[in-house]
Formats: sequence, C-alpha cells, structure tokens
Amino acid sequence: MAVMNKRRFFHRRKVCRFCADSKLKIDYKEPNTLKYFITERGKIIPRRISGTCARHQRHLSLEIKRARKIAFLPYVGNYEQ
Amino acid sequence: MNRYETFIIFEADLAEEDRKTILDRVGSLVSDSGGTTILFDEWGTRKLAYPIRKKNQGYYVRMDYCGRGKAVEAIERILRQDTRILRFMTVRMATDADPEALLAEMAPSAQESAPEEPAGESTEEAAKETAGEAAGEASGETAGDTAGEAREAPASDAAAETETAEEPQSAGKE
Repeated sequence: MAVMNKRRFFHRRKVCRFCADSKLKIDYKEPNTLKYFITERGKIIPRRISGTCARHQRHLSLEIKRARKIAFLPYVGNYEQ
Repeated sequence: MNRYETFIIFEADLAEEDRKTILDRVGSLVSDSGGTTILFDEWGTRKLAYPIRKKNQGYYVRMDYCGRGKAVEAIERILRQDTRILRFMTVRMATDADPEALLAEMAPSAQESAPEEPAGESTEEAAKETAGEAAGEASGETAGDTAGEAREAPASDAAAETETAEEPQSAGKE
C-alpha cells in the first residue's frame, strides 16, 4: 500500500504574474505581454495552467479578445516570433 | 462624457492624403457632437496577425477622444461605409472623463515624447522593453529565474507536504 501511495502529484505552486508584479499591465495594445497567455494555436491558456488569478484571467481574456479583433493576435493559427 | 479610444486599420497602400481626409472628418465628428479629440496616435504600418480582406499589412491609427455615445455611433457609421478601412474598434477607457484635465496632462508629456514619436513602432518596443526590465531584470532572465524559483520553492513545499501526508497514512495502517 505504501508503495502505491508513493506516486503522488507534484504541485508546483503557481503565482499570478499580474498579482506578483503590479507594473505589468494587461492591455490589448501590448500583444507582447498577452502572447505569453495564448498557445501556439492562439487559444487562451486556462487559469489552471497559467496560474493567473480569477480576476486577472477575466481581464486577460477580454484584452486578448480585443487584441484579436484588431489583428494584434491571431484568432487561430500560429503566431511566429 | 466618456473617454474612448478607437483603433482604425487603413489599407497599408492608401495615400497619406486620403488617410488625412478620413481622420479630419472623424475628428470633426467628435467636435461637432460636443466632444474633444485628445490625440491621433499613428502607429504606422504593421503586419496583421491574420489577413483581413486578403491583406497582410495595415496602417494603424489610434484615436483618443472624449465624447458621448452619439459621437461613437456617428464615427463608426462613417468607418463602416468606407471600404479603404480594413477594421476599426472602439473601446471605452473611462466614464466621466474630463477632456481639459486630460489635455493638460498630455501637453507636457507630449513635448517630452515628441522626438520619440516619429519612430512609431520602435518607441513601443522600447517602452515594452523598459517595462520588461522594470518588471524583473530583463525579460529573458525573468523566464529562467522565475521558473527556477518556482521549481525550487514548490519542491521544498511538496517535500514537506508529502512528509506530512505520509505520516497519518502510515499511522493509520499501523
């Protein structure tokens, strides 16, 4: 039993990057900041992976959607760089 | 009075005079409806993240103004009808904005940043870089550093957790 229990998850403690650094602002005019929170396919990275807090994730998703509309970020597909 | 920000993407190969006439018209619409234009911020030609009307480049202009919802309606109607405009987007930045205060605020900063502004994209990048540096000693390093710290800190945490977690189980079995 003890052997089976040895396999356990490593919980890497995730910190919201925007809470940790108040100078970092979420703005659709700064696609370079938002870029870290989308996948190569252009999807928004979920909170459970990025570790962003609920409040900032809401803000982030709104700004990413704005950035998409104005063609700073892709809706779908690869964003090289 | 609200503060709005409208991004307009023109076709990249559009003549400057044509762009000027459109922007002048939009500017006059703001003042006609009792609003105030704070600035026209020309970002210049940029690569689009995805093609719009089969075009890969666009000329970005950001417009910052104070006005009422009616002004936005009027502006968007004009922009929608114009086929030389690839896309536009209006965002409300603030409610109950005071245009005079904003203009006064802009005036000294505009003088300082005036020599930098013609560079357009480079200033943005510079701003981002400085922001990145301020954020945590160069963006390149932050990735490594924070990742390293993140790995180290939780490792000890996790070790502590596993230890504490195992004790009651073993105790239970015994």
